[in-house]
Amino acid sequence: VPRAEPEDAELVARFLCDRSPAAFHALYARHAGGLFRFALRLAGGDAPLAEELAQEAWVRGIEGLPRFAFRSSLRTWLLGCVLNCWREHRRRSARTGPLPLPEPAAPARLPWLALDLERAIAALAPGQREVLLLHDVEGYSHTEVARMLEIDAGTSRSQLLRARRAVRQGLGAGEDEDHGRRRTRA
Amino acid sequence: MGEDEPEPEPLSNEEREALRALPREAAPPSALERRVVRELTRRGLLRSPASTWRGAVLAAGLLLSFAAGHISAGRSADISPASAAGKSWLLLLRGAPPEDNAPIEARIASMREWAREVRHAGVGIDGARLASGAEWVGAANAPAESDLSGYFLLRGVDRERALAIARSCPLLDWGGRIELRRVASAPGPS
Repeated sequence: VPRAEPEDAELVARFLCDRSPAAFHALYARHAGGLFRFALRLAGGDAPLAEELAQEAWVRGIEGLPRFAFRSSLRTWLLGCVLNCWREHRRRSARTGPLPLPEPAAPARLPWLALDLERAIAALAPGQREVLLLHDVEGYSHTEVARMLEIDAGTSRSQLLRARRAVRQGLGAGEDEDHGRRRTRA
Repeated sequence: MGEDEPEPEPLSNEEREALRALPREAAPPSALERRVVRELTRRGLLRSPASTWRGAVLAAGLLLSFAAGHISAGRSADISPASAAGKSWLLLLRGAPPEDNAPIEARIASMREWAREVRHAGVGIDGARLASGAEWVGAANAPAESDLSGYFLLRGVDRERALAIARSCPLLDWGGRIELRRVASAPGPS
């Protein structure tokens, strides 16, 4: 379990003391980028949905802040809020199967491999995407992933295995297409 | 964070590096913070910006939000003089946000984002800041200071829409207020 950063604890304490917009802004400025990126990836690149998730996650996070005891990092707590909002959204919507391909926020600054990787992750089934993002991108252990997703660790492992295979397959297909295009041009 | 036990198909070093190299952050739209603050305030989870407003600090924050001297979200070429006549509204921005509610950069971004959103909704909008230090002409009992700090001009909208647009202005989140006035006659030479 990651240790709480003293800066976050200080920011939280300051916020809970006066609940001023300035104190909130300090928390927001520190974590908004990470939250939004996570929401964007969970949503498969659907920016409006990611905004919706991030907004609701911030509201819930702030609402629950008095109960937050820093047993995990603030980032983990907030990512958990995003995750809950996302899973509720999934339950609410009848949406199944792969979501639209992502439009990374700054594609020009991403190397081609990263772009392909983002697309391959976005194309995963939602459950696999959640596990791969938490384990391979965010760096949580299976025990932690299992706790966050309310599944057992074995399910987390098997989902990750399938997710990695699908990503590898997706990247391989992308490479094949690239080779094909190069051959066509030649 | 860490691994519990060996993975059946572990990542190669190249894959691990590629995943690690993915950006960890993405800048959310500037309007998102404004929406979150509004919702938190509405639910009573955040102190209202208005409650911390210091009336004596006139114009400072808002005037800075017009730092470029003139905010314009672009003219709407679709609005003909005929359709605009009688449908122009002036939003007089009054009062000013306190200096310590949020960094001024956030306010600048919020105000510009708001004006952009209005324009994207198909409304002609222009705005300008007013410098501090009102000078009164022909007013014997003029107040010592004006709290008018800027304005927006909306073209081609009815009253309901103008009101809705005014209500969505971030100035209200900061404790300011807006005076809405219909433009009775089209400006410029006839």
